[in-house]
Amino acid sequence: MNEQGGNRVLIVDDDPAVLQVYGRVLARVGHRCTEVSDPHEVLGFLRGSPDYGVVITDLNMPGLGGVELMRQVREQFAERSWLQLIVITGNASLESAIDSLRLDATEYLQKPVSATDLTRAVSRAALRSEASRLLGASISRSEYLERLKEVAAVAGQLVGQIRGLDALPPASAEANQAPGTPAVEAAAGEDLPGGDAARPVASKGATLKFIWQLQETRREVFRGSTLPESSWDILTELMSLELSGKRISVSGLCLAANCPVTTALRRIDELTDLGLIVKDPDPADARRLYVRMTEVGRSKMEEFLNQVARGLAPT
Amino acid sequence: MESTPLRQALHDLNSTLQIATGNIELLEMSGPLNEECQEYVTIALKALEHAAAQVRVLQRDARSTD
Repeated sequence: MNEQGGNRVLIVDDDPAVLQVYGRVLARVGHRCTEVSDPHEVLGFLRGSPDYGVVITDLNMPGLGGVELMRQVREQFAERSWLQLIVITGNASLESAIDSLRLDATEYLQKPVSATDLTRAVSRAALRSEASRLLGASISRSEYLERLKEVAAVAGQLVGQIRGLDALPPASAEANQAPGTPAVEAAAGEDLPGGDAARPVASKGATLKFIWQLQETRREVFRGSTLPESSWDILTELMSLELSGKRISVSGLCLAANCPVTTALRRIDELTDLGLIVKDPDPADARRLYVRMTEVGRSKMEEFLNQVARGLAPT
Repeated sequence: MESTPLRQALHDLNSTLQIATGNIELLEMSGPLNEECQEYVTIALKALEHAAAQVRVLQRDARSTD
């Protein structure tokens, strides 16, 4: 079962020993590979199964070179936008690199390629392929309505938060605040949008202080890793889903990351490398991967939430 | 680009280096090696890396003399 991506990998090289090495290295990290030593057979394998998401090819092969092979693949499978091509050549040249780029090859590697570089390149390509499949897939009406409901729920929460911000006291009132006045005060006599006139409201200064404390706590808990906002969005989304006992796929998480899909995929890779999250294949659909927090990731988020909760507790 | 015998030989040499490097890395991945073995593996990989760099120099020379 493929743990790095739901796509199968087709490897083409006229040297069987090279094929064996690539196949074994990739199998060790969970990729399902098909090894082909005759490039003429590649189109037949692709015709036989849409599951192939990544094709790795050599360039110098007798009878049919890698560039010509890639051209034929692109021509005959133009509708398979998810097909990712990786070139690994023992005779790299500017000319072949340009040809490969023109045929939309995602990686161009020089032999001998290390096991680490190979697995990284294939994992990246498999993720890109999966994202491309999902973005290209049409969704059913019920799924569309479900997503619409989720968006409406988030919009409702945002409206509530914006109303809460509106309820903060005006800046002039804060400027006139006497030294030593408690940070939390009542919005005297003013009707809040929520209808709770007596609800205590934090001053802007206290709110800012709280935001800084949040950022400081985040730096403290995730020391050594500077997390971009989109990575943080991914972690909070995963934590929230774990608390509600739900799970999410890579594509769902990309939508929740509030950034372009390619960036989200990169963030997911980075968080995986940091050991904070992990991808699990869906046993029911090999093309889908679910994402969850690792023990380390969960304990760090719990530590963060506990520290924030202590900060929120009334003194 | 036409493949000359020299270019083909260098390409094949890179494939051979790939097979050697890959199999040594697979050996490393297959389980923890004792300290002595790990040292031999590291030296072998470094030697292969060096050989690959030499091949790249020869390939550059071959291109420039075409």
